[in-house]
Amino acid sequence: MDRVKSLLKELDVVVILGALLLVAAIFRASTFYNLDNLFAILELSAVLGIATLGEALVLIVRGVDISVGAMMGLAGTLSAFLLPDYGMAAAVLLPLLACGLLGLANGLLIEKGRIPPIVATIGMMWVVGGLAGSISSGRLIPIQEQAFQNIALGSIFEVVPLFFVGLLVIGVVALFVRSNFSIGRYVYAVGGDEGAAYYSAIPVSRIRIAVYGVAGILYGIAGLLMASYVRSGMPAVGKGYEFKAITAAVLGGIALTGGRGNLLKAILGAVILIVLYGVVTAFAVSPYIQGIIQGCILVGAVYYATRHD
Amino acid sequence: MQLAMTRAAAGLQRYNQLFLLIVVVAVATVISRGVFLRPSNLVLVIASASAAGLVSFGQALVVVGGGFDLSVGSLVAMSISAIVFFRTDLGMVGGTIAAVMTAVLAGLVSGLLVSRTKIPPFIVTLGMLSVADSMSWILAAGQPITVSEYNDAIAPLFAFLPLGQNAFPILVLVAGFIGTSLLLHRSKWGRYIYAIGSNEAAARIAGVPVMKTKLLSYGLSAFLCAMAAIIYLYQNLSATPGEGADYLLLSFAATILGGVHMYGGSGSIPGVLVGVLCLASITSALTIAGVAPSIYQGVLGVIVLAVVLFQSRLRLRR
Amino acid sequence: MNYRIELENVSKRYGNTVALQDVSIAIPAGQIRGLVGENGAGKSTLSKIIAGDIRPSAGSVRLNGSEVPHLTPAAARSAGIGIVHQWGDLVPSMTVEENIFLGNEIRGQFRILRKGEMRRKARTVLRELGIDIDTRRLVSELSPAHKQIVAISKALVQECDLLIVDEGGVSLDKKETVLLHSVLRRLREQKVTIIYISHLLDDVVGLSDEISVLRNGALVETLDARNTTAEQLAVAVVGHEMRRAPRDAAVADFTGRRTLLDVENLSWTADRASFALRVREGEILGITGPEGAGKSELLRTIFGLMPATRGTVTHAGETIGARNARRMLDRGVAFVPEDRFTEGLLLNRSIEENISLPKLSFQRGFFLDRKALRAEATRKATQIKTKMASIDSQAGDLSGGNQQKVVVSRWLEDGYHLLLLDEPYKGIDIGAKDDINEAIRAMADRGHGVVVISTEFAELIGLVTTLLVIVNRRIVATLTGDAINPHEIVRYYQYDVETPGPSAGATGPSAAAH
Repeated sequence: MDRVKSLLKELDVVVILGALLLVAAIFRASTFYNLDNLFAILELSAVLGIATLGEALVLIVRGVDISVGAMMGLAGTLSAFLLPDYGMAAAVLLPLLACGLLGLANGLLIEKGRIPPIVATIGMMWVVGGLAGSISSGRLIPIQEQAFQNIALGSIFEVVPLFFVGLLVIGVVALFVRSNFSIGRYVYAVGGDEGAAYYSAIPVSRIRIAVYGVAGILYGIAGLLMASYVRSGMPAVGKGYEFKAITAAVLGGIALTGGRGNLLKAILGAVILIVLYGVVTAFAVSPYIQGIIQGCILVGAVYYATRHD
Repeated sequence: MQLAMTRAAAGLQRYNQLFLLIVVVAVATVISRGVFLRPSNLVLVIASASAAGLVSFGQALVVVGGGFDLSVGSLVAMSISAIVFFRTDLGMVGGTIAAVMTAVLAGLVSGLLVSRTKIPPFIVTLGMLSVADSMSWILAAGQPITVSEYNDAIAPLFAFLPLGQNAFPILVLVAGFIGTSLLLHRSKWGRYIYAIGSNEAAARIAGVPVMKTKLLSYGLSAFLCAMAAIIYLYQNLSATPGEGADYLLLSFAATILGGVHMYGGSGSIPGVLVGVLCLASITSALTIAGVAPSIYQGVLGVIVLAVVLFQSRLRLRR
Repeated sequence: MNYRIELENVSKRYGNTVALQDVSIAIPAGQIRGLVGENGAGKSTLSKIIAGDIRPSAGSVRLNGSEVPHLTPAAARSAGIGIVHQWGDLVPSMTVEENIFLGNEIRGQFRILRKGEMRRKARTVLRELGIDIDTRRLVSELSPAHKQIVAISKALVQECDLLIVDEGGVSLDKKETVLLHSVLRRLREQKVTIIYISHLLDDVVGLSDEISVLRNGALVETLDARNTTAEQLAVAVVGHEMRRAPRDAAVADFTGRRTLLDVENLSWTADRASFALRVREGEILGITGPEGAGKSELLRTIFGLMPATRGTVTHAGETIGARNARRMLDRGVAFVPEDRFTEGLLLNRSIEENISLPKLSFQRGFFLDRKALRAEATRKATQIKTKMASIDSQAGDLSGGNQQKVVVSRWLEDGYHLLLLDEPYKGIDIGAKDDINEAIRAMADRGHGVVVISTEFAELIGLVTTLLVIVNRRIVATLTGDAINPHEIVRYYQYDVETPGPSAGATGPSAAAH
């Protein structure tokens, strides 16, 4: 009985997702359940899912990262800028390297500089935005390269977009590392109880810094996918993604107080959010209402999570 | 001996603030080849700092009280749209009042959530940011906004002053400065704000009305955002929905440059004014020097991080 | 004799304060050594030195007879020293197995975790200790005793044979304590040396072979546990010294005085324990008892900082239902919290602002009357003899004693006629204690009521008119007059709720303070 109960509790996000899909099926089957729409939903889910994974890791080590959207923008812009002259490899690897380093800088500011995570990452958001802006000179850089565009167009059996495959691969790797390597345990220990982690000879600071770095790379990947999706590099492409990633992670049960939460559920949280936007769009209510729903979900989810603490 | 040290440290801190302004003005003067220091430019700089200044004073009240208000930019945007929305039915004066009330309501909601639930301030105001941003699009029905009434009606009132068009924004900035200064430094509510920012649990046990104080600071922050919206429309006559997000960055930067600690419980409104003027000077200098606005944001980010890093070093050394 | 560890003339100083003074202890292999002492007696400093966390200022440490000049945490670990910090080294949100191997995982090829092996090993260790828990359960779901045992297992898988257990018995009930003791005894059979630190004296007496007593950083004596009773131990821990003579019993007679506070049947838990007490005008009610007995909780529930599960609090004849700080202050009841840093002071604000805080609600109009606030704050600070450079100095710059005075001085006016103080003497010098006591007495002399919690008998004796002893969330004694002396008080420390307590001299729990 207890098992069933705890299983149901574990599956709360799946229930929400099912309910959403059901609502769409009953009321807006034709506009929601068509191939193009579903394809787009899976692609955007992948972008947000990967970004959310980064944010979730940061939240698990008891941090928070506001620089998500800016990093995505930088990755896409840098990639678009590099593509014509330096080729695919450089256009993929250099942006990821840049995002990883900037993520590490976040971690260093927080751990070594003793700056509160919100302030440090907001500052970083502007610095990164400024970098991206100076690369693009404030304009949009179109992406002509077919190979790069194909990432977004590609699919398996014309049904599952490559993006989503990417998300699955990254998700599986993350879960594998979580349960089969010491570092997976250390990340949770650092957020769960810093003192206990310290007494267990775990290098708390270094792990936190590393997590910000890995998160930076994940934002970078999300940004590259986004650039491929919109076929251009622009600094503002990730605007609001910090918000979406935090919301998705919290919706997926990642605790803001650190140390608790399932990465897979966080990714599911991202899928739910994107499906929700899809459903809202299918109902053709004002597209502007999205932000209100978003805000309410975030505050509501955190309220739900902190109620018992 | 210890007293002398404390005095010296305090003196240095105050000196720091002015020193910062002097450096900024000097650099701005050099970069602009003297254009910056022309009286006409200085008036322009101060006038252009008006909206950001008002928002910063509000942000400072919240930060000194140990919180964060990430929604300020969106509240400015929402107020701009609300003015247009309510103008249709209530006329210009009624519409303005209604818009201000809407913003204050949003601020009170934030304050209520922050004080009555365990949701961290940054989540509450991040949620409000999203809601207010949406509202700005909904209230303006997604259309560009034009409001020339403020300029038409108000500018002539101050025609007798030599400042011309810039008189109104400067006067409102001064009023906002005096108002928030008196509140924070001369009233019991200011003492309460400091107390909560310094140690909320201790404040509560000593009888500080924590909820009322937070409602006041978040409400006032939102009110000042609405004032900033009026100034914005007075100066620009038009806007697109959602515009104003930059005020978050500016208010944050000004608060930090103004010597307000991110941990709450310290800082002053005059300090924030210095921060605001520094920012406006930097902006002016960069514009005159022809630096692209997209880079400007990055420069601000670096400055903010550097100052916070410096602050936290000082704190660690204590 | 074959000693597992020997400390010789070990001292530790922090600036001017001495945490440990010339302590020499030798512990034979395979012994359970109890280590007792009051808060700040040096127990944790000693254990940290053995674990290599801090270096002694003087003295030497020998392990198995050979001197270790520079003991680091890593060196201590590899020398087989393990420490269990009051389950502070467990991550509640992780499983038992993850915790046991945290920082010490078994890894195979490519550094992949060998989860099966770890699970087996964890189960074996736990079974050897005689308990059977699912290693996949979260630590947060375990009982306190099982948490303690998991923490011990964690030390054991690192092959340690000198185990320091810091406050192992805290918050364990009787059955759980028995379980923990049997686990530790089993370890002794396996030749593990154990240092058992606790303030629960009967716990230590029941378990240890020998017991070392620390007081004010010095080793007072080492007793053979078989020939020692908990009562004797208690006297050794608190010492015999009395700073003042007890107050005359006649002083405690407040019949006919107005009742300021009447607490009945009050509780903050769901179980049956409940409290009753009464404070009359001019009365100073002391509350003492071992750590974790529920003293603080009682006061916080009365003041409304913790929700009550049942019972009533009547103030000046009026029962107050929903209590909170604001409401109690408006009625003239004030509270001085135990921890002045987290709940007492605005550290980065001036002394004047700290003292004026409760006065602000009486300010009329928008502008503060800063002159009046300053004058009053100065008067209050001076009244309790606060040593300060200026009333504008930051509270954080003051010494501990003066900080505490600032917190207390807020309430030194006739507007507050009932003052509740939670451990006001913690970490302050003797001069400051005297000044605070003088202020308390002056309040009582003006007809106000005071409740003061403290574990420092020396401060309570001669100050309070009535003393309640709380053990295990029950008032086990109400003492007045000459009965308020160290020997009498500690008799009740061992008072077991299930068995009848010491009979003579005092009333039992039911008649508490009525």
